[in-house]
Amino acid sequence: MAVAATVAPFGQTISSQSDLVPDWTCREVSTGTTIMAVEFDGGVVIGADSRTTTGAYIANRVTDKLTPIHDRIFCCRSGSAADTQAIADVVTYQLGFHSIELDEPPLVETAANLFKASCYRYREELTAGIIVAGWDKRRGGQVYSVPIGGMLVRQPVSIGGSGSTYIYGFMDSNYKPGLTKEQCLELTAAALSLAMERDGSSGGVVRLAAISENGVERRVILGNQLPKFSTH
Amino acid sequence: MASDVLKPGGSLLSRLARLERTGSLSLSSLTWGGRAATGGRLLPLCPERTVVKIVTRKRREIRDDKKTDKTSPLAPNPLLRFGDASISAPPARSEPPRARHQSSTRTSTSTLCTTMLESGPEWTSEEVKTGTTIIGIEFDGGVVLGSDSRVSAGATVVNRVMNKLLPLHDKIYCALSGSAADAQTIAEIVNYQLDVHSVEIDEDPQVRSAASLVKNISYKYKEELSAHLIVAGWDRRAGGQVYATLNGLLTRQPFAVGGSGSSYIYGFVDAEFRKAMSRDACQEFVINALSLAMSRDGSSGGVAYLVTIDEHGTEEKVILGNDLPKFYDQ
Repeated sequence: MAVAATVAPFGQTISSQSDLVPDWTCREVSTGTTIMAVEFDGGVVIGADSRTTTGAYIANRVTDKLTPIHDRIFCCRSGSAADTQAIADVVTYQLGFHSIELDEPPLVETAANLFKASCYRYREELTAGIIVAGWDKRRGGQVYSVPIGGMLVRQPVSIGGSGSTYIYGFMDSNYKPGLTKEQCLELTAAALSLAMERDGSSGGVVRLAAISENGVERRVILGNQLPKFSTH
Repeated sequence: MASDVLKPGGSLLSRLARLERTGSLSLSSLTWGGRAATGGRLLPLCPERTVVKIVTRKRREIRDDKKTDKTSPLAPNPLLRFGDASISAPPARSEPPRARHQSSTRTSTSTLCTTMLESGPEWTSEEVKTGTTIIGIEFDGGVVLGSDSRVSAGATVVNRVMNKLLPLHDKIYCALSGSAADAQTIAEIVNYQLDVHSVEIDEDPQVRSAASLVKNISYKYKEELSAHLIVAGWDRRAGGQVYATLNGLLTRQPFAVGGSGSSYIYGFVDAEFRKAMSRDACQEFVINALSLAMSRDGSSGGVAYLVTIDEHGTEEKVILGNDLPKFYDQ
């Protein structure tokens, strides 16, 4: 067990609530979270934890943060639960409409641009960090990151959410291009377990999905089946 | 409170006055008309900017003021505690929205915003911090301590080659992080105290004694200090040991990481650490961890310093930037 010495640059908040009123009655519901997406040749693997918190209370310990936007396009949500659900609904509608007009499955890049358009236009009001990932015929597996603020960038591997800070080092050292689907699944499960171990806002089970031309395979790794590391 | 947006004009004063009433702010007097007085210091208020440097202190300090030991060697000033939040005007976009959702309920210093003095570069008014990444790990027969070398004052790097591994005794070293002044002072004081102690007992001191001395200072002055030292060394009785002394706790661990860059490598060290690694494996582990943290953390960088202590002696090494291991996207 290593002791944390975090230097908080923006100061910590003083709680001005009395102890009679529980903290969660005045806190926004947030998907604290750790989310991740990795590309492999032929598709993508996405993963997320399953904890939604309202302050210190865990409102949902089995949340599904991997939201389908279209048959082969998913998004991983982090930040405010309300904001991300609303944006995902809007984009699902817009993409569905666009795909009917086009008469063919939409591109992942299109979905990502729709997310970016909403996140950027309403950037002052929203707190949403989203990873869009999927498969399309033109470019295969793709991962697009749309963090808070509304930037859009394509990356081979992307991590997000509050728990992601703890696994930057792990990802930098363990990811290399050219992994197979099984290796991607193992890497994602390991990275998410490490982050869930360290981040108070991430936890529960690990939800994984592998998206490819053949379809979407979803799986859940329960708490006691998570990979273990030697520090415990 | 760090997320409060302060607008210029009269509402600033009323907001400050309200904060003072709730006891979270301590201002000796406040005037309008271009100058604000806070804690006895006068700061010019630029009308175009939303700005005031507010010096706050924790509620406990206000009550415990009288009990502060004024003759202590550290002579902390209980009134002043500079924070490092900086919200520039106009405020709306510069505040990361994520701060709104942090639900920390511990009482701690709240700093509202930083002055935008027109004169002088920013770093002359910022506290000097060793942003840092430090790591200490035990192996069979000794310890390895590692650190980066960057010291920052705000956004400026004031020293890019600082050695943050200071000796407390021949076979006991400590790694500094947090405020540079606080950390160095603690290390020097403990160095002195340990010298006296080792003369008194007429043999080499134990690592645990050194760690206890550091812990005592960190705990007694925990409100005033913001430094975290990792103490590691070798002694005859218990071999290699690593102690973490954050905020006044004392705990022995097989390995410890600290500093702002440590957040990014928690996953890595959890995954890669094995018990009973060899000396060379430990050195490689420390170098890899430092390199990863330095590439992700803006406040860590420069070169990597390594100190290996075992029963035969102490070895100090420097690994220059271009010799550090590179990872996937570099």
